[in-house]
Amino acid sequence: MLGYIARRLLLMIPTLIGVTAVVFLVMAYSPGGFGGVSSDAEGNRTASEEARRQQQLMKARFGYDLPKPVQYLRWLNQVSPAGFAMSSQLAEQALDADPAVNPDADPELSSERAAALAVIEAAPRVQSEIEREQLLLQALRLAMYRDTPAEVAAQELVGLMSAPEQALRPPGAPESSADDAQRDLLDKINAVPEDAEDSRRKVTGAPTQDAMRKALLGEIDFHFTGLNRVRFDTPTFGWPDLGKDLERIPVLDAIRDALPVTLLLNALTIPLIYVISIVAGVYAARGKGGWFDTGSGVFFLALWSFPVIGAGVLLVSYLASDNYLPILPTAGLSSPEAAEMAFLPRWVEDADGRAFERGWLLDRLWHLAGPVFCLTYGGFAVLTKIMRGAVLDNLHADFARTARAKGVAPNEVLWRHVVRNSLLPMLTIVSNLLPALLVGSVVVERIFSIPGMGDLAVRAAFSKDQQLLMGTTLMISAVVLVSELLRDLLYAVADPRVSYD
Amino acid sequence: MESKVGLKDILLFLLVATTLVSVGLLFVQVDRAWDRLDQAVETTQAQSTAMDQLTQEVRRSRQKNQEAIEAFREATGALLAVAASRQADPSDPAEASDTSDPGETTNPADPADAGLTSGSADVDAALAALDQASQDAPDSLGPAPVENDYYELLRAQRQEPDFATGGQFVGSFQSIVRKITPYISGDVYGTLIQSYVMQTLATRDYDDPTRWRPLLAESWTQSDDGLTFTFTLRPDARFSDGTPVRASDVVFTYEWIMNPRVEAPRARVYYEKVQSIEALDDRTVRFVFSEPYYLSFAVAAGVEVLSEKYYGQFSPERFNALPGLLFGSGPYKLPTDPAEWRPPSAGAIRLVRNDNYWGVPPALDEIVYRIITDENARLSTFINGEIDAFNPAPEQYSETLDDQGLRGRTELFIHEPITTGYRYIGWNQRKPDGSPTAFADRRVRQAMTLLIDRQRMVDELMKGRASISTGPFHRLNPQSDPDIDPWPYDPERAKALLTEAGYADRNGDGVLEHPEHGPLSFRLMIPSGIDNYLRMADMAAESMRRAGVVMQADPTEWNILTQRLDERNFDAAALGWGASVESDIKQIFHSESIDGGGDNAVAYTNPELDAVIDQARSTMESEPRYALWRRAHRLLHEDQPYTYLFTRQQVQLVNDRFRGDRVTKIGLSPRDEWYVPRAERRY
Repeated sequence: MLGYIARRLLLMIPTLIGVTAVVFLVMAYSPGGFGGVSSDAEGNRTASEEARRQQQLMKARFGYDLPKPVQYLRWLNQVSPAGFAMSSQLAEQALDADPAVNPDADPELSSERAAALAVIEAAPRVQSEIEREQLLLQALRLAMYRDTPAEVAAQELVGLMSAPEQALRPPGAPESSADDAQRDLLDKINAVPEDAEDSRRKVTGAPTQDAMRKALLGEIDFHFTGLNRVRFDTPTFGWPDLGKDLERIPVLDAIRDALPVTLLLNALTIPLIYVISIVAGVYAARGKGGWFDTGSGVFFLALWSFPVIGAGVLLVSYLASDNYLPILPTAGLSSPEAAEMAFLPRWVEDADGRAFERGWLLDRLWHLAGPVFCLTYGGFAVLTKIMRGAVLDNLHADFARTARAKGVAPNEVLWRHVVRNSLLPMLTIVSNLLPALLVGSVVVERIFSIPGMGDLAVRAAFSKDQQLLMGTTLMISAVVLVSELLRDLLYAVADPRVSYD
Repeated sequence: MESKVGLKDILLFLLVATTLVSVGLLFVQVDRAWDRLDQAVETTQAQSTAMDQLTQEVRRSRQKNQEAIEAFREATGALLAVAASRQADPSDPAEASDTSDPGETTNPADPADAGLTSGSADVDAALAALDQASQDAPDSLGPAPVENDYYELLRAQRQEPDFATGGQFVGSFQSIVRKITPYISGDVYGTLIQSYVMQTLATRDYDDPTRWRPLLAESWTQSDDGLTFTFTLRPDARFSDGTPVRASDVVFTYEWIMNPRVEAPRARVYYEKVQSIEALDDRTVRFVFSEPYYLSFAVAAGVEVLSEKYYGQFSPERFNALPGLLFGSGPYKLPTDPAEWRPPSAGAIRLVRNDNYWGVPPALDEIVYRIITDENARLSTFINGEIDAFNPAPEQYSETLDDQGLRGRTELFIHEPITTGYRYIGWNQRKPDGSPTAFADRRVRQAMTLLIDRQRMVDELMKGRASISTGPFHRLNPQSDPDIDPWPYDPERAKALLTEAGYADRNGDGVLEHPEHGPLSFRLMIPSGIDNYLRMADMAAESMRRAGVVMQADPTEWNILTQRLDERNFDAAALGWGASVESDIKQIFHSESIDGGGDNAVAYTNPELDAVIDQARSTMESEPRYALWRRAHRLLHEDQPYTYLFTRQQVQLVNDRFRGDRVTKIGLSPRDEWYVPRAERRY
């Protein structure tokens, strides 16, 4: 058994890689690729230099300009528990490795940091604390990118700062015997003066040295922020890092907020579907061809064919509106005033006498009624039919006939012998139901304004947010795979004939 | 093999399940109780801090008073001595004791009074410092502030007979707000929440947005070259913890944004032109810019001031990670510790009144925004009266505006904020290979405009809730020239213009041809999935077909659309641009913006317009600058690089229990002007 579990767990790895690769490449090769969508609520774009620059900055920062398969491999490296460090990550670690603030920092990194800082502090033209900090971070980025001592990188930046004219190298300047990474960087540095020229032109009147320096610093900051590569010489181990989304919120936090909501919905929905389907299935099989069998079959099929989105909108527009029959809340998981309520329902004394206060728990259940209904009603048809079929099969099986022949009461045969044996196929369905519910909840969560996984996934896809989309994909596919494994294990537990050894 | 699952087992199972669920629920309950307790403790702590401050202040002023008494005694003593020695003239000491009656000014039993006196002493000192500062800087006054005192208006409102403090405003958001930390949240709704809590040095006046209203700053000056702005902060401005807003906080804010470890690259872009910010003293702060630009003052005055005391206690990493680190000097604040704020999973964001607010306290106790993602749900919620404001989409006009019951309970606002963007069709003048297209000829562009019935679009497409636009500025914006009449819908004149430009139906297929450019047939790129754009394209295509011009709608997915704009791989494109109070059109219409990061996707060039834009951008005085913008408007109207279609009107329904809600030039009045008469209070 343990061997089987281990084998299944190992098999999950290539499956997950396959799933994420397909999702990633489909999104990346879709028109426009990853990256934020830039328009306001009315679909208008913003025309400003700043907006343009922000877009470029986001592109460089997230590496959207790299070849797509490389982007995927980088993401894989990032989530993999064993992988390689990224140069920007090392630079940020080095920046934090200030012994004064962080006593248990890596001594090697902190000595690098100190060396770079010494160079920058000695530079005559770097003035304020902010400028020092800016240059320090960029120098560390450069150093980690090239794998050179931070001192050398700092000297190069300081040189660039103190002689901006010299930095204005013509585009075809002699290249040093550089490797790819260095050539790439050289291009970037050459891009700096071009834009600096731009900035200088913008300064009307005589460009002050100070303004030029400032502009150059801005350009260095702008271009080096995207400087990042995989450091194959530095392996790292740790928990999977799902990264941060476009809003710079850790994806794990976003999932941690959303997952419990969806799980709550499913925890209510799945048992409800099962209980109703099992009971209905058994009664339908017992009275095969009778009014209940036909009636429930038609009714459940009708429910199954009704789209969730339609049902949701109808519920919200008619059963939640004061113009019609207001018995449901319109949106959310709690009323705004629920935070002030007691937990359980109670009578409160107020000015007009005793008034009923529904309390937080009842309020939450009231808000769950609509969404749970929408998730549930479509699930009966298939499960009832399967249950009915299984019960019918078993009713005609030898063991049932034997039991009846021995004089066991028909009801006891049905509930004790037949139903128990008919539950096995229902187990198989659980794992098919779970992904379906996750997908179904996309629609339901949108309509009922519930911030769950479905809502998160839709938001990620609409905003083309790479990290968020990949994080949710990974999480949902992992949940599905684990639930399939659980189903197979349960199967073995429930049916002694099934064994994996 | 036979194991028995009987009724007993089922009961047992149910019992166990119930117990487990109850234990779970108990945990939740205890957790909630703890949260409430935490909040209570926090409130108590905040109150005790406030008490401490109050006590200290009282003690300080008492001490001051004591000193004053001493000084007074000495003075009177001296005077008496003088008087005694100069018996001949008794009026001097009498006068002295008259102006400083010890019974009145130095009554230690009345702390409020004492605080007031010491406060006014501070004001005097500050005024002296201000005089000093203004003597140091031989500056002009900068953008003119509004003359009327805004706070006078608010105070007058407080005198209305039905005015009452209390109540709530409940609004709605279309999507969850996950981050409201200032400077790093890029979310529209996050910005709205911030506007209640954060304050800037000055703000545009709602009724005349070309002018600035003092907020945290009480006055400012500008150097003659337009590069230096000096702001003097109000002496009474305070953050919500009671600490005063000082010049060092402004400097701290700038340094915080520029700190490379703070994840504010998007905010940083706006401050790239700032050369330095320094605090000259506690209440004076000076901004120096590296180039003269007409929006420099807006950048400086628009700094949302962070409290050094509060934000200084967080590391940049904590600041980046916390979603709701929102703390400021505005009329509202978060109800709990900002460091504990999480995106609301239950669906509402709450703000409560800041009891330490330095200005005129707002009337409403709470501002609540509920998150309602579905359009129908939002409408139902509004009909139920559970949210107080609703902006119907054009499809919902009939459902909401004709509902008499709803109209009876609500107030309808139809207005046109001058910050509304416009929709246009841009005519690409340059092919990807660099050669000119048919639209490079101005007459062809004018003819296209003449062929589009914009009034019909406004009436049928927008249900009359829009106005035809004539240029890139909103028609009510002073940037726009009011004397310009929109091009009419005139197919005959269009045909004449096209004939003049060399177009004629040479082969008899009903389509106009040009000897060089061939048939006048093109594709109009529109964003896909928006029905409104498609119908607009159909309307335009219809009247063009009758004039012998073939236009085909080309719905394109948003991302590929922007890519094709950048590559100039399109014939014509229908899109919208957002607008601001004083839009800078260089990015769209200046010839420098054709390549290298500009948005002049249609490759429009007019040297005269270039010169006008450049001059306007570096003109700091507003009157001559607005004259230049109007000239730019006239040039653009004549040249028609775009066919300007229309700007939308805002249709808003607001629950009619509110008073003080009125239309301003940039939208409805801010919520701190709203109040609910006591009789109509809800919640």
